[in-house]
Amino acid sequence: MPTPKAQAESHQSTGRAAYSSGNYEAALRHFTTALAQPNLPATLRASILDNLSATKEKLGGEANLTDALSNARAMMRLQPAGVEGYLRGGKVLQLLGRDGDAIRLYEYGINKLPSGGGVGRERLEAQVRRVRSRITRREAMTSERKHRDPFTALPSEVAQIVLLHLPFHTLMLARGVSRGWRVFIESVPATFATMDLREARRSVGSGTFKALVRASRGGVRVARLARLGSKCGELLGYLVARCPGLSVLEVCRSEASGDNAIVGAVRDGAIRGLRSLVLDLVLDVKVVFMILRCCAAGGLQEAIFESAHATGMVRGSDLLFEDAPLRSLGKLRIDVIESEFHLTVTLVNRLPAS
Amino acid sequence: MSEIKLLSSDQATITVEKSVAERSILIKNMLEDVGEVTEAIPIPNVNENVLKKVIEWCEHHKGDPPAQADDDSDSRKKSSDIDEWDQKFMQVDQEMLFEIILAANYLDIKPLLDVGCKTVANMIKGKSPEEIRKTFNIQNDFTPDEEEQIRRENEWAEDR
Repeated sequence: MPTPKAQAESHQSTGRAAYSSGNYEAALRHFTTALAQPNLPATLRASILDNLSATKEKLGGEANLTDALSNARAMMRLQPAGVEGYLRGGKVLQLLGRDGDAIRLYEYGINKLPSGGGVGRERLEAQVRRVRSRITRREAMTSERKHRDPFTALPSEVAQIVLLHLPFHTLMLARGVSRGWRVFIESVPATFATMDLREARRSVGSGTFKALVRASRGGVRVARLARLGSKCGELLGYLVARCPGLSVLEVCRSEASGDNAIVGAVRDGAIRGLRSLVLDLVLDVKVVFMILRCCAAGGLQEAIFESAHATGMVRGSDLLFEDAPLRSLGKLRIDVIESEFHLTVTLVNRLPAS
Repeated sequence: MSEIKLLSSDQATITVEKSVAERSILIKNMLEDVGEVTEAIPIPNVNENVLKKVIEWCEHHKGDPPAQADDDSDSRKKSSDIDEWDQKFMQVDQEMLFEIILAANYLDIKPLLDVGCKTVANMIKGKSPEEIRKTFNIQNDFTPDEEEQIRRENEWAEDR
């Protein structure tokens, strides 16, 4: 009468042969019989459990996989410092679609291994890496489905509405997202219709400003300029010369003072069609009058000069020059700052209609 | 209170109050053209999930005054002013958000289209190009040279 151990070993080897030839049902029977033998040494029990678990795994289906997992757990209990149980359990968890649990099991196993851990540790760590990279790939695929470029997901006319809700400086930054974004943002006329530099975080270099004007293809209709630095006047000239449709021009005080180029641009009739003009630049009041004379003839409706500089007497009546019909002007404000005591005077709030 | 039936692209029939459905100009015009209808109106571009979401919005906003015409088309609109309920309503994944926007566009529900577009705009605002790419899973396809040029051009606008 062979010992239970010999019987178990015999069934195990028959089972393994059946397993190799793909006869999992037969393998299952032999491994189960082998495991039923009493008083088996822990190594042998663990080895049979390993075979049994592998067989259940091959048979597949959730019930078999769950059984395979309990076999693996039994292996871990028998040999907590052995690597096989964790490898087996982790594999079954992966098949059950529980990648996160598999990683936790491998890591638990790594801690249970004797210090150093040797080859066993490396095998577990390799598994952790494998599962992690699969999780990353899967997440990337899901996010590709969940996260989509709005400018490809939405038709152009809808994407344009999105752009309408973005301030100018955000639009300019967003051009740096991708080629598609750059082309799309620049192709929408509304992008440059209002060129608003008041939200500039730092000064706008003249190369940058000219590049913006060129990108607008002359489409700037409202320009609210700031932080243009000492070349403000020259750049203003550049803008008005290239944007015939410019109707509102607002220049916030920059470092530049009373700039001849602005005056030149205005005098030359470059901003003839201007509807509204707001200049917060230090200008001599005589220059202010001259600008008004030119623009009023071109249909200017509103003019505000924030920092006119007066020398000598200034009278409102100086504005009513006979050759300059200011009738179109609905609103005019000139704040005169005298050189020493910043006295602000509103000269004319509303001119008489005649 | 009269009700009408809508048939989604995936063949689900949804019953909805007529006045609610008429937030959609497309449906409103259709009803005006055909008069009384008994059978479900097919909405071939919108699936059941999205259609339900759109109807939820219309029900909440059924008392709203009709949208005023856009008078100041040249000044940029402010996108921070989404009311609280709408903000909550728009807290969906991007796929659903874009579906809602597409449906609002198709069904011609301008206020909903606007809220959707504002929501997308708010996802772009205040972000660096790299953060925008992450938000929408966009590949950076600029060459290093092009990127450097854009960075130089955008220096003035960057928060840092």
